[in-house]
Formats: sequence, structure tokens, C-alpha cells
Amino acid sequence: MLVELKKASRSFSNFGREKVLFSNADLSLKAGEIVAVTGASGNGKSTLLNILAGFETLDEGSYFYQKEDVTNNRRRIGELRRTDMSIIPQGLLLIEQLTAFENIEVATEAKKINISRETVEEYARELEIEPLLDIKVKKLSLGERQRIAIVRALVCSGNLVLADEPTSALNHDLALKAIELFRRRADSGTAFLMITHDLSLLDAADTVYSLDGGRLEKTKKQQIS
Amino acid sequence: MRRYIREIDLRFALLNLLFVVITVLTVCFASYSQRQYDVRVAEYSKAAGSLVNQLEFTDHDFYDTNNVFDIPVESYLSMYNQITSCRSFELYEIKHQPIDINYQTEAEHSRFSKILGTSETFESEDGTMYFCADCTQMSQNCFDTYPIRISEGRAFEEDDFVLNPDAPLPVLLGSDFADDFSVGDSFNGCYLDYETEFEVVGFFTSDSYYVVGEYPKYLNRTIIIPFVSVLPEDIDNFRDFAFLQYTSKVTNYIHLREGYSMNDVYQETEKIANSYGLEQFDYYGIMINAKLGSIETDIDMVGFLPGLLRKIACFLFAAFAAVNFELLHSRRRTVAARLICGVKHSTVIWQWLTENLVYTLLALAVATAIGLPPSPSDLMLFAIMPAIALVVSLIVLSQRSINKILTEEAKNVG
Repeated sequence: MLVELKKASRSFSNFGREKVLFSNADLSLKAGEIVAVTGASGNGKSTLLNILAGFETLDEGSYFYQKEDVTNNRRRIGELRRTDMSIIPQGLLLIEQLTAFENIEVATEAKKINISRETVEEYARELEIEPLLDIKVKKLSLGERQRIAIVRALVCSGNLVLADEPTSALNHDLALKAIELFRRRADSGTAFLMITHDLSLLDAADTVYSLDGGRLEKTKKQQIS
Repeated sequence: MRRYIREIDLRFALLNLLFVVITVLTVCFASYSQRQYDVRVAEYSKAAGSLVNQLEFTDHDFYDTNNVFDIPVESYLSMYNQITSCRSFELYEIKHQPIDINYQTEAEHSRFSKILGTSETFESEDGTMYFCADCTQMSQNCFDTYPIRISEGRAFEEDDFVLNPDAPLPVLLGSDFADDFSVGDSFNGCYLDYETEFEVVGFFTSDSYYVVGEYPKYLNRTIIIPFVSVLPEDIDNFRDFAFLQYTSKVTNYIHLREGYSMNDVYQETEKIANSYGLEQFDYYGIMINAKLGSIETDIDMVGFLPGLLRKIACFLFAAFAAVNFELLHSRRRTVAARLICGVKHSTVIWQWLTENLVYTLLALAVATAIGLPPSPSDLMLFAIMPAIALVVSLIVLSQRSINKILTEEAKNVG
């Protein structure tokens, strides 16, 4: 098992009122698996992703990464982020002053991996952004930026990609192309955990979790569709 | 490197650089004006024949020759010792002191009066006749500083500057006395109420002089006696004499030592003055000539600048910290983007520090290029700027802040 959350709980206090995002939640993710997490807005899906990325902590429960207990160990998860994880945040977090390709270079250099320009172009071509690689991000549309963020994550991905609404700004055709890319990477062993409302992405997922009313449950895909 | 430079928003970088340059230039200009001030003081000191200032008490109650406040002579002695131990200046003791010389015959009187001019004579209760002769007391260092040479006899020796009740007080006479006096001649007189015998030990050359005031004072017609100290063990026997002597000795002239400024003198003497319940000593600049007058005007004009610029620099350092904080804060999104790609937290801090270090070096280069090179002591001061940047980055990019940035910015679509 690549990722395991056991009896995980997280709540937050809003103006003195305690809100439980999830409690006693179990989640597991195998190598090569695509897991989607869906649910209404504000139910804690992004918080769940932030916990897996090490930006936030669990109130209770355990987080295992490749059987290693990394619960609330931000330093260790930070190392994993550098070596083993890629993230597609909802806000994309691209450096606007740099070109698309340079943004990808920042990630490959930080992770100390050598990726050729051709490899990047290959991914970019599939998402129809190859001509945009040398254009500054600030000149790109939201959909184009999202595809750059997807390419950045896929190019640098190790064993796990965490994605928050990775296809939210893409049209149906481009979303399918992105999903196709995710599937191909998954088939080569990379696991994906995605927060999404996109039905196509839910359909492509091996496992779907629903986070609702503080409960994280595996859901049959038919129920979603 | 090139990519990192391009990541930086040029407007913000220029704003940061501008603040660094202004701060550095202000500090460099403060140093420059301080150096100019010191140069002028040194020029003044040199032109003034090495005596730049007269040291005097502000509190005349303390310096009252009648000692109405019954201040023990030991207080003056210890003050004198402290003043002569100061590092920033050397005390030069030069003071006119009338002595009453007794005479038996008019011939004895006239051999002085034909040189010194007619002076007041009076008769004491026991019928002894006295006339008043104006002498000059000098400390030993005056003889080392001024062109005072001996044509006959000997100069004063170290022991001559200590009151010795068992020996006559040595006297050096100007060259004009040489026709009527000889080495070894003696006469009796009263020096600060101390009855003693004076012995002529030598004569000055005709070109010997000292300078205090506007012109050189030639010694041809001068009687010089050593500005004697009283040994602590002799004070009880010569309490009145010692009192008058030490109140006189501590009100004298100072000569700046190399590498020190008047500010150093003020600091050192203020401590001494305060320890005796005085606010400060007074310093009277001595104008020697028109050139000195202009230097003095320059000193007044330049003197206020370093302090003012230092105050402005303090304000600029604080402003730099605020700007630095704001600029790094405005880069939260870029920082988050780098961190989410896997760039290390420490790398981001190091880059911010390096960036500010480069700005500081650029500003120093600009300062040097326009003729305001920093002094070595300023270089330490400029380490403050990267240090401020480091502290700012540790605050803005603390682990807690980073997690907040990442969770907030990661959601912020834009």
C-alpha cells in the first residue's frame, strides 16, 4: 500500500463552533491506482489533500506512506514532497514571470531529476500546449495554466500525484486527454489522488471516495454517475 | 540564476534596491562628513599650534579660589589625575602666575624691571620690599611641543615639576635676562603664598616661543617656572598652595590625540565632570588667525551633519525593514509556487538573503563610485541589512507561515 489513512479525524473551529470535516476516516491508495475524492464544497476535501501533502495535520488517526508512519511529521512529508510526490494545487501555483517551460524546470531542478525538453514537449503536445512552452505564464489563460500545472506534475511525478480539481478549467475534450495521460502514468505505477467533481474523472478513477457530513466512504462509481 | 532573476518582479526589486542604496549612501555620507569634520578639526589643531581648546569648569562655585565650599584638595588632585589619564587628549598646562620677589636694593629690583617693565611694589609687615613679577608656569610636555631651546644652563628636569620644599624652585629666563643674570643666581619670593628660593638654572635662546592664542609668544622677556605638582604626602604641609595649584592645573588647554575627535573628548570629560557633580567642562576654542576662523566656521557647518545623517540612517534602516517585510510578503505566491515544486524552505530563505546581499554590495559600489567609499567600521554596519533581510525572511517564511501560505495560495486560483 502506498498511502494509508487510518481512523483519521480533522475538525476546525469557526467563530467558536467546532466543525468536523471528517472523523474515523480510512483511505488507502495502491501504486498505480487512481483514487478520486468527491463531495460538496467546504466538506474538507482540500484539507484531506493538504494533510496528505503535509501542509496540514491530523487531529487524530494515522498516516502511513509506504508503511512508514508519517503522521503529522511535516518535515518527513516535506522530504517526500521533494522526492516522491507531485502536486497540482487548485490555485496551480505557477510563477507568472517565468515561461511555462521554466516553471517546469523549477520543479525538475528542485527534485533533482533530469528531464529532456523533448519529454516535456511530448506531454505538452498531448495537452495541446506545446507552442505555449516558451510563453510567460502571466500571458496564458486559466485553462492553459492548468495544463502547464498538469504537465509539471506528470513530468516530475514519483510514486504519487495529489491533484485538486485538476480538470476544472478544461473543456471536455481536453479533460479527457488529461485523464488519458493520468491513466497512462497510473499504468506505469504512479498513484493519483484527485479531488474532483468532474464526472469523466470520476469515471476514470479506480476508486471513488465520497466525503460528506464528516464521513469518508468508498462509493460505487454507478452511484456517482 | 538567470531564471531566478527573472522570477523577481522588477518593480519590487527596484524599490528594494532603491531603499538599500539610499540607506547605504546616507550612512556613507554620514561617515564622509564625519571624516571631513575630523580633518578640519585636525587642521585647526595643527594651525592653532597644537592647542585646540581650553578646558574650564562650568561651575565656578566648584572652582572658587577661596574654597568657600571647603572642597578638599584631594578632589582636585584626583580630577587632575583623571584628566591627565584621558586617552583622547593631552593636557597642556600653561598659565601666567605673578610671583612676589623680595629685594633689598633698587638695583636688585631694576635688573628685573628693566626687562619686565615697571611693576607694583609693596612692603610687608616686617619691612621686606616686594615687587610683582609676571611669570609663566608650564608643564613638561610644553617643552617637548614648542620650539623652546636652552642657550645656557640646563632645561627643566622631571624632578623639577614636583614641589621640593628642601630645594630652590628652578627658573628659566628669557634671553634678554642673560646680561644681568647668570646660571646659579638665586632670589627669594612668594609663589602662591609659598615662600621659597628661586634659582636660575638656564636661559632660552632668543627664538624660543610657544603659542596659545593669536600669535606666537616669544620667551625673550619671560620668566618660566615649572608647573609643579604636590606629592600626596606633602599635601598636608602645603594644603593652601596645593589647592590653588590644582584648581589652576585642571583649568588648562587640551590637545587632541591622533585618531580622536572632540566628541571623544566630550564623552571622556563629561564622565569626569559628572563624577564631581559638574555638568560638563567648558571648551573655549582659540581663534589663531583668519584661516583658523574659516576652518572653525567650516567645523561648525560640517559638525552637525554626521549626527543628523546618522539619525536619518536609523530611520532608513527601520524603513528598509518594513519595505523588506512587505516585499517578501508580496512574494508569497511565488514562494508557494517554488515550495510546492519541492524547493527547500532553506533555499528560499537563502535566496532572499543573497538577493539582499547583492543589493547591499551594489549600493556600496554606487557609493564608492560617487566618491563616498564606506569606512571599515561602516562595513560592519552594512551587515545589518542582510541581517534584517534574514530576520524578515525567518518571520515571513516561518514554518507556520509557510503552511499557511501553501494552504491559502494553493486554493487561490489566479
